[in-house]
Amino acid sequence: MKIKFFPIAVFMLLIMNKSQAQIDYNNVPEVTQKIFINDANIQKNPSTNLGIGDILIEDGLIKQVGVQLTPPIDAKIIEADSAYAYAAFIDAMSHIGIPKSDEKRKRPDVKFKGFPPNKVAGITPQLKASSFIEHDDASIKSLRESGFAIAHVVPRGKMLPGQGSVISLSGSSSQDMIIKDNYSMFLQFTGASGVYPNTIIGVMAKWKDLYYKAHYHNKNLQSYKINSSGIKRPKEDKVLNALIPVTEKSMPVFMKTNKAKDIFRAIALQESTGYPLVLGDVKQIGGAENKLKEKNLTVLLSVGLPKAEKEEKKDSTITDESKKALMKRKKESYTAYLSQAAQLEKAGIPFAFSFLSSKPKDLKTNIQKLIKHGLSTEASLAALTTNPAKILGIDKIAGTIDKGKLANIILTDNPYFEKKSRIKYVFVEGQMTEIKEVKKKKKGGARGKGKENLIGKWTYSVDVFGTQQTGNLTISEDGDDLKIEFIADSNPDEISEGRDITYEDGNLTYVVTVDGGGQEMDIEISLDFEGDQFTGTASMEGMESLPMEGNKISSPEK
Amino acid sequence: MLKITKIALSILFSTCLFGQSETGDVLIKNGTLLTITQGDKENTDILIRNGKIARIQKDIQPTNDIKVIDATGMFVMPGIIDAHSHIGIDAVNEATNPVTAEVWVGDALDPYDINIYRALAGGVTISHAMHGSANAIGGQCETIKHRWGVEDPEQMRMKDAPKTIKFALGENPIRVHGEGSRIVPNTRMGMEQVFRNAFEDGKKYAAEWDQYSKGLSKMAPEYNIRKETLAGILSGEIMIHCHSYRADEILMLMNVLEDYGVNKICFQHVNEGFKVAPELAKFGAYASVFSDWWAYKFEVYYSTAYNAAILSKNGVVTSINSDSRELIRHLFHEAAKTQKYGNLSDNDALKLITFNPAIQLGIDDRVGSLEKNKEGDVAIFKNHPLSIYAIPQYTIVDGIIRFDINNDNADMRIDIDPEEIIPSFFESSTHNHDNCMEGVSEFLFEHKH
Amino acid sequence: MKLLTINFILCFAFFSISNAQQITKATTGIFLLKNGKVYTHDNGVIKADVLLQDGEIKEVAEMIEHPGAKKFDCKGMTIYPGMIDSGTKIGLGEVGAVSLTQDHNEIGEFTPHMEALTAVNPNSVNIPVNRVNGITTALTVPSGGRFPGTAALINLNGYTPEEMYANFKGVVFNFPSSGKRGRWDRRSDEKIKKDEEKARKKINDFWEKAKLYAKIHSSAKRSDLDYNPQLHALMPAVNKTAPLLIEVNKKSDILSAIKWVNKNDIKAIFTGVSEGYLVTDSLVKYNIPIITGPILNNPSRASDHYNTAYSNAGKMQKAGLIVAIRTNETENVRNLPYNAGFAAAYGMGTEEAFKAVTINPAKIFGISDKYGSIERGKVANIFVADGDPFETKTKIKFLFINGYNVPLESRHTYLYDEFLER
Repeated sequence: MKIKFFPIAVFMLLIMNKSQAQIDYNNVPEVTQKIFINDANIQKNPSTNLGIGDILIEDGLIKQVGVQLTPPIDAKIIEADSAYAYAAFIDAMSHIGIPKSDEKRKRPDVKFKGFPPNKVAGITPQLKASSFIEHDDASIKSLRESGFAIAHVVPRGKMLPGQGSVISLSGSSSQDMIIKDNYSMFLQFTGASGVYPNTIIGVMAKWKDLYYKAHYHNKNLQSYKINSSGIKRPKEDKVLNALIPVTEKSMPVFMKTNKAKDIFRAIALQESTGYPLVLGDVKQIGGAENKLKEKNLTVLLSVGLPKAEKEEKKDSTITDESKKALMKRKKESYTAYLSQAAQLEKAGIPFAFSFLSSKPKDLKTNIQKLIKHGLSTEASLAALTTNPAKILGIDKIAGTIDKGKLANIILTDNPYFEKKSRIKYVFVEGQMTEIKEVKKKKKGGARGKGKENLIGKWTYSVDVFGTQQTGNLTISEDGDDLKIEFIADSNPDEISEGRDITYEDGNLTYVVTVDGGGQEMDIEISLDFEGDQFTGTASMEGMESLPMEGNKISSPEK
Repeated sequence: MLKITKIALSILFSTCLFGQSETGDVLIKNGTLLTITQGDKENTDILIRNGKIARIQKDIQPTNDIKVIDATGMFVMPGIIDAHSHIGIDAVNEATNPVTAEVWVGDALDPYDINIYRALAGGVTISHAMHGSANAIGGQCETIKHRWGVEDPEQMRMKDAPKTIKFALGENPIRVHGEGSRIVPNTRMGMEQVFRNAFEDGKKYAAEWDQYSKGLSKMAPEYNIRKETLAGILSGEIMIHCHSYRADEILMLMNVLEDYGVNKICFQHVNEGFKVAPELAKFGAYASVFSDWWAYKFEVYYSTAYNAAILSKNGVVTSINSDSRELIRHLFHEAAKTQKYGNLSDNDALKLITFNPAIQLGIDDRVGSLEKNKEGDVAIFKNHPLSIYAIPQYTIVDGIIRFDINNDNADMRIDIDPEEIIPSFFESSTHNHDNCMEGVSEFLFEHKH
Repeated sequence: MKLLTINFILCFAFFSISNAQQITKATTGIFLLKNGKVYTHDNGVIKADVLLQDGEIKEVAEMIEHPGAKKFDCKGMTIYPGMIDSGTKIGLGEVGAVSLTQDHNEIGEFTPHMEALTAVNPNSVNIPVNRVNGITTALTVPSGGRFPGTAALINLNGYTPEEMYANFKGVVFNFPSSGKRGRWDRRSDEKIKKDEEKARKKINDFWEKAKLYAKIHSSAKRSDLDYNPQLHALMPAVNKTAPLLIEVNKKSDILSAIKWVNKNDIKAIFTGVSEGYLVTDSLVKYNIPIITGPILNNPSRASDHYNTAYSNAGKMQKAGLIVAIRTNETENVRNLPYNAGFAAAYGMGTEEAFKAVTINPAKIFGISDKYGSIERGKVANIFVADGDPFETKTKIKFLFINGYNVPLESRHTYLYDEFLER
């Protein structure tokens, strides 16, 4: 993979120029660009621990790493107090910073469904992820606070949404953030709705068509350059031009391949042409492991894991014996999914993590599960740092704590992969973010963020563009899980139930399906509980979030 | 001796890893062999070595290491071949355009489809996984071997089987494109022009590239995978399998093909084939039919269950297919119906699901009968396969036992959902006769009149 | 004969679909079936002649002589009672995809008053095509809503629905299902459960109303009662004078249906019953008659044994249930013997499977005094065959329905005759 990245110095200069351009007395600027981290337990890279040492950051770069360094007089000193320092993490593929499209999902009005405009067909390889990124999108902050400094962002869309950009998770504009623009081509087996290519077979055929079209287009462009006299001028074509680097094998293709089947298909598609291929958002490797090894391919594992084993549904449909057998098979399958990462490690297949369809905040708990199933912490750290750095071609500037690299560092109070660890600081190119400790509440404690506090009946009201919709919410315990039922005052006969429920530190999220005029719609609800009150949002794809609040009416009798 | 075999085996297996699919050895003893091409042989053994039929004779002595099946009292026939099915694939119809020659169901094979195992449990070793019938020129198909257990889709393919493509006439493409999207074809007249137009495209495209490859033009013509495929049909590289019902449309397509010099075609369903059996025979066209489906739509209202018999007796190479994940499980029974409807002999009836579909798929030199050097695809039955009491006992693909009634765990899934314990219960609907139209409902009836 | 056929075909092609019963006329009279063997359910095959007269089996005995009778030489053949398909749409649908020819699915969820018999087309091309395989009688069943209508048992010969009617009707009830409707059904388990509960509540309301209606109807207040066709149609079921045909398949649904039937004190016949083999104990305990099929069907779950549908009927029968078999077909009711044949091969045995398409449905429908076996006084529904009726090779030689000698002809045989040698 060819590496084309911005000269770092120019990049930094841009940032500083900007911060000096405007007088802003609402903020007080940093006094110095030098930071000295004192007495940290430094994990230079996945296999090397330096012990207690110091790190000097200057102009966003690591200036010095060593034992018992002397802090310069003009540096701000951070007392690490033996906190653990790691290279900040690198997200190998996600949609971080790109808001979900507001376009309503409606059937495009295309006369000839077999020949839709490229945009409708989901074929926009000329677009760059960086042009969609909103630097203040909440997802960027959330990823950074999870310990990440760099992300490889690919656009949202269907078959060929565009090119991936490698960005730094700091900066005051999306331009500032770009480390590598048009770094990768993002390809998915996702058909367009109602038009060609609609199915996976349509998408795969279309890809082959585009690939060879671009190949010959490029050939024609080249020969036209050499001799253009008496030859029909080849027409410019944005889509084909964008694909030329892929046909020249200088731009890697990142694919979304959730299942083993997708992996096999992606490989079969690539086999005859041989462009660099990265298999992304992999949830199931299954029988594809040998093939991965044989082809020496890179894998990005999805951080999302199957849901933990729950007691089987209350469906008495099968005789006990066969039910037992079915449960056993399910359990084996669950274990196999969780053991995949360990198996990749054993097989020597390099992998990193991607976040296309999972949340950064699940990262640690899920990696712990993988570690429980045999993955080493060294490989886990490599998958978060050195491997993605290599995959993204930025291993010269990121992925380890070494002199000259970007000052992308995290400090944790305990070794990161331990359950009780907490990230205290994240440095992204020297910019420091201190992560405030969310105080763990005692269960049913005074602050009211324990799970027990939720149990009971609540009123709610949603502000639907000015009108208040009200109703009741009943939260109860269902084994280890929560059960949420709610009834809208406008339709007291219908009880809706929440699913995909998560609860953490006072934040409750769930999804509810409602009937929106004959069409089922999923509403994602996120509520922050504080004592007997909550506030939050209800959001739906393609609509802005609606504010929501509520009060407790009653608790269950004790 | 044993050592040598072991080494041979390990060499064999090492080649398996790289592209070749796994093969096996098995000796089937004392069965009644229904060879299809060389008569029935009682009390005869059949030895499969390295996935190929090595010997057929009485009293073959087993070597130490070989798996032996005692088929005493059983019937041993070639693995059943289904010339029309949609199992083992994840997409059937790219229904967005009347011509989608470039799409290929072989791109989306699904080795986890439980219907493959269920077909094996009905003695079927090979099926022709086809694109659907939404388009006049649909996608390319794939001939798959039922190697249940493999996970790499590449291992499902019957390597080097000729390429085939699905065409469709009549109501389905008209419903989707004419009625659904208000574009040509809306009639059987329009259908003809869609083919002529596409073939012209393919012809022109081939000529342009020919010029280029001879260095007569400097610039490469615009690459177009669709036209490339159409050119492949005209050159005879890709064989047409055409969904068809009515006699007139069958004649139409043969006329068009004659004009473009295409001389090979297998008509699928071809419910009114019996009306033009002499014309089909003269053209050399094949017919792959249902045993008794009719009246599920208007174009099959004037049908007869005697279709296969009439076609066969008129010299048309005929097969009986399933087009259904239900019927594929008992094609032996579907073939038996030709004895009810048309008095076919046992051998002629069995030919409809073995040798004839092999001819239609261009694989008759490799499978479709029990002959020396053919591939070791075998189905073993308790009771004669044409009896209603026939029960498949073993199904063998390339010498490997892929179905064994005594070694069947009920739950034979490979890909287990890590979250779901009890797989969903599906209410059975009455027979779905439009498997060919899978995935197209959203394209129908957008414009009502 | 050939010329005649061509004429028929031409008529057919040029004029209309439904006006011509284009086969040779069935004739009635006194028929004597000589030299054959008679199939009995419990005494095996016996040597006997059979005399048919006035639409009935007049006599079954050795060496019958009747001077006025038309004789049918059945030498080497066996005389069987006509087969009964316990669930079809025959007569209610002509061309599957042409909706205007489909008369089995009325609009509305609660339409028990829709009478299948009303819409049976005696001249449907389907009827001859199917009966020539020895199926003389079929239950024709409306489909669609929760209570789609009243099914009717018909003989597959006659000029009017009344002539065809075989003395059984039953209201159909599609029990709320907690299964998925098809592969496209993307509802979550919770949603399915909710839908099912909602449906259950609705039917309970409906049933309560029906009970009240029936109560008032049988009381002195009858004259005050506003006629309600929906509730009226349920009266026989509510009063237990007729059974309710309850379509139910999934195990948990079957158990719920049993509870519902007991709670409401209903005479029920369960139809479908694909997972009946898992709950035979409960079904036996409440002695519920079963109509199951199609036997030639895929398993309902991905994890099921491949032969689940083949073996279900046999398992239920062996557990002690009375089981009848249906095809659930419209134009291919002729595959009834093959459905029964597969059940026979996969555990039920030929004799029991044959009962499941003859005497068992007759018993379930309460008409075994007239149907289901070859006995004196029963309706003359008979076919004569040269072998095991389940075997595909077997040929039907003579067919009698309702005392008529029915020609073994249909569109399918005519097309064969015309086009074999063109």
